[in-house]
Amino acid sequence: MVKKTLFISIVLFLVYNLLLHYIDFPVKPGHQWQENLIKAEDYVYIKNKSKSVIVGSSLSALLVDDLLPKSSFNLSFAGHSAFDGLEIIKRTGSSPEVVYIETNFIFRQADKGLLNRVFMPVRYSLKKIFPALMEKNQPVCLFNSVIFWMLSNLKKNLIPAKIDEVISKQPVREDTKKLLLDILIKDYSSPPDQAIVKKNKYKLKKYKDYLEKKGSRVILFEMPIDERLINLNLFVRARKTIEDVFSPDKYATIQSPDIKKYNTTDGLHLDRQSVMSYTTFLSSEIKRHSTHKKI
Amino acid sequence: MLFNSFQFILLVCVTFFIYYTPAMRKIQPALLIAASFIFYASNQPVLLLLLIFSITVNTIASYLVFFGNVKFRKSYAVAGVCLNLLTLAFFKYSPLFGKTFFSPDQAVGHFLTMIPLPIGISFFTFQGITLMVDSFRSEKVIEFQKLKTGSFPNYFMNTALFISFFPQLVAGPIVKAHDFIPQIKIKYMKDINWNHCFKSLVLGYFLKMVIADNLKDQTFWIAFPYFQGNATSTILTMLFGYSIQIFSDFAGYSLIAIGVAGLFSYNLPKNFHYPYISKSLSEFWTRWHISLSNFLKEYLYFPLGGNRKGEKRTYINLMVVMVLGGFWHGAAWSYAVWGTFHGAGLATERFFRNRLSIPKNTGSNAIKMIAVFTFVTFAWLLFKLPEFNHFIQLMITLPRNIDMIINVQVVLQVAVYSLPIILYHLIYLYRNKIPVLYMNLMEPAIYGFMLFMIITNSGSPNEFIYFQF
Repeated sequence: MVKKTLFISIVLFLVYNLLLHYIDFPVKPGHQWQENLIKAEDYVYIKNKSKSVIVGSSLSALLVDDLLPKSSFNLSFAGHSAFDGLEIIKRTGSSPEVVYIETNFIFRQADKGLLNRVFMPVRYSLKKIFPALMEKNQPVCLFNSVIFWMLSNLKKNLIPAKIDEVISKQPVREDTKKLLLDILIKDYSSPPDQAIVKKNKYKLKKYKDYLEKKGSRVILFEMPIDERLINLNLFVRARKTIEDVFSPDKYATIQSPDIKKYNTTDGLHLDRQSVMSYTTFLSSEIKRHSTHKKI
Repeated sequence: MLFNSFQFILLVCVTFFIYYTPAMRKIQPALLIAASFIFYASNQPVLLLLLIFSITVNTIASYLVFFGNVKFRKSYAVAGVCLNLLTLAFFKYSPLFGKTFFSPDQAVGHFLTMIPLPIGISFFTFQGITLMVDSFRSEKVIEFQKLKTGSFPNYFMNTALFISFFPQLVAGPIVKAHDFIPQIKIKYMKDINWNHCFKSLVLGYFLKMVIADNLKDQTFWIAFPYFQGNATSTILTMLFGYSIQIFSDFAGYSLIAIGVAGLFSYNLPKNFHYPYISKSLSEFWTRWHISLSNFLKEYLYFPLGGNRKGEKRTYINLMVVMVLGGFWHGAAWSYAVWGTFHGAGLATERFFRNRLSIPKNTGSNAIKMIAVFTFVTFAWLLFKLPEFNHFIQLMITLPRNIDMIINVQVVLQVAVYSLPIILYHLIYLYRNKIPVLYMNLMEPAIYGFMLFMIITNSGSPNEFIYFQF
C-alpha cells in the first residue's frame, strides 16, 4: 500500500509537470493571498529585470496592469505594505531603475508568511525545475482559470481580463460603505504605536540605503483615499515619517490630482472607475519620470 | 511549531532514529520527554516551566494517592484535581475575569488581562485530571497497576511522558491515564503499524494543508468588519466553508497526532468519526472531538448523576456539561453561549425523542443530517466571531445584504475544497454498497492523489484552530 501510493503520487507529479508545458490559460487566483504569492513568484522567477517597480499595499495592488507601462511591474500586495515588495527586491538582488513606493501604509510589518513561502529554502530551488510547485500552477488554481476562461469565452467579452475583472465588481452600497468608513475613522484616529514608528523608520532607511547602493531611484506616491481619512493621525504621522527618511529636496513625490475626483468603495480602496482613472494618471507619471531620466 | 513545519518534521525524524537505536532503548521515554520539551518550548520557552510544574504537581499528588496514607487518598486526589483546575482557571480565565469585572485602568484588571495563555493548557490539565481520577480508581483498573511498580524516578518519568507526549500535547486527542501509561515499555521498530501510520499522516496532512489551509483564505471574510460588505448568500457559503474548514483542521491535526504517535509505537484514540453524517446532536457528540466528549461524560456528566436522577435533572446536567464544555474551548462569553446553544439543542432533542416518533427512512435520515449540520454550522459562528457583539452584527447583516450579488469566486472555491469532505462522508455512509475489492484497488490511488495534492496544492500554513484552546 505505501509503495503503491508513493509510486502513484510520483507518476501524477511528473505527468502534471509535463502537462504544464502544453497548457496556457490566463491565471485566475482563488483569493487575494494567492494573488500576492503568484505576483511575488512572477517577479522573483521571471520579471526581476523590470525597469520600474511599484511597491505598496492593497491600495496600489488594485492598479490595472494592462494600463501600466509594459516595462513596469506592480509588486504591491493586498493586506500588506510596501515593505514586502522592498524585501523581495532586496532578496532577489534586483536593481530596478526606479522604485515607486506607495506611502499610505508604512506602519504595517512585512508579512513573514508571504516571504517564507516564496523563499522557502528547498522549495525555492525546486520551483525552478518543477513548474508544478509554482503557486499559479496549483491544480485548483488551474481548474479555476479554466472555468473562468470558459465563462469569459461564453460572454465573448473582448475586454482584457484584468480590466474586465475591475469593471465586473459589484458596486458597494452606501450604507455598507458608511459602516466601514466609521470603523476606519475610529481605528486611524489614534496615533500609531511609537515603537512601530521607530522600527519602520529604521527599516525604511535601510531599504533606502540598499536602493541607492544599487543605483535605483526612489519616487514616492500616496494613493487617493476618502477625504475624511486623509488628515487622521495615522496618515499624518506616515507623511511625517516619510519626510524624515526621504528628504523632499532630494526625492520626488508624485502629487495626486484633485482627491475629490476619486471615489472609494470603503474609504480606502478606489472604485472601478477611479482605479482606472488613477492608473492612467500614474502610468503617465511613470512614463514622464522614465523620459526625464533619459534626458 | 506547526505540524507542517520543517522544524517539526526534523524533530520527528531525529527523535525517531535515536529512539529506535538499540543503545537508546532503555531511555526511550526520556527521549520522548526531551523531544516534547523542545516541541513545547519552541512556542513560548518560558511557559515550559508551567508544563514542568504541571508534571511535578500531578506526579506528587498521584504518587501520594498510591503510596500515601490510605486515609487521605481521597484528599490527595481532590487536591490534585483542584490544583489542575486552578492552574487552568488562572491562566485561561484570568483575562476574561479581568475584562468583565475590572476597568483596564485598574492595576488588577491590567494584570489579569496581561496573563499569557499557554498553548495546550486545556489539554494537559485535563490529562492531569484523568491521572488523578484514574489513580484514585486504580484498584478497579488492573492494567493501571503497572504505574505502581518501580521507583519514584520511574514513576515520575511515566507521568512526565503521559502529560507531555508531544504528538498530542497541544491539541489532543485527550488521552486517559489508564489507556496511555500501560503502553509505556520498550518499543521496537517492528511494532510500528506502517500502513496505519502512513494513512493517518497522508489523510491528516491532506485535510490540514490542502482543505483547511485553503478554505481559511475564503472564510477569512466572515471576520468583523469584512462580512458587512458581502452578500448574504456569500456569507452563508463562507459559513458552510468554515464548517468544513474547522472539521478538516481539527480532524487533520488529530490524524497527524495519531500517525506520529504510531511512529513511536503508541496508540492514540480516534478523535473524529465522520461527524457530519450525524442524525442527532447526541450522535454528533459521539463523532466529534470524541476524546473530549468521553472526558466530559466520564468525569463530569456521570458524576453529576447523568440521566439517572430524573428527567429535569438530566436536562440540567446536559446544560451544565455543555456550558462548561463551551468555556473549556475559550475564555470568552461567546464560547459559553456556544455551549448553551448545544446544551439547549441536546435537551430539546431529548425531550422530543421521548415524545415524537419519526419514521426511519432515507428521506427522514437525510433531513435529520441536514438539520444537525445546519445547527452545528451556525454554532461555529461563535468560534469564528468570539466577540459576541460581532456575532450580533453578522446576524443584522444577513437580512440587510440579501439583495447583494453572490461572489461566484468564493462559491467555486468553497465548493471545490468542500467536495473531498462531502465524498469522505458519503463513502463512509455507503461503504456497505461499495465492493470491497473495488475499495482495495482504489485505496492506493486515492492516497496517491492526496499526496500529490499535498505537494502541489497546499495553502499557506496557518496555526491549527484548536491551538488557541
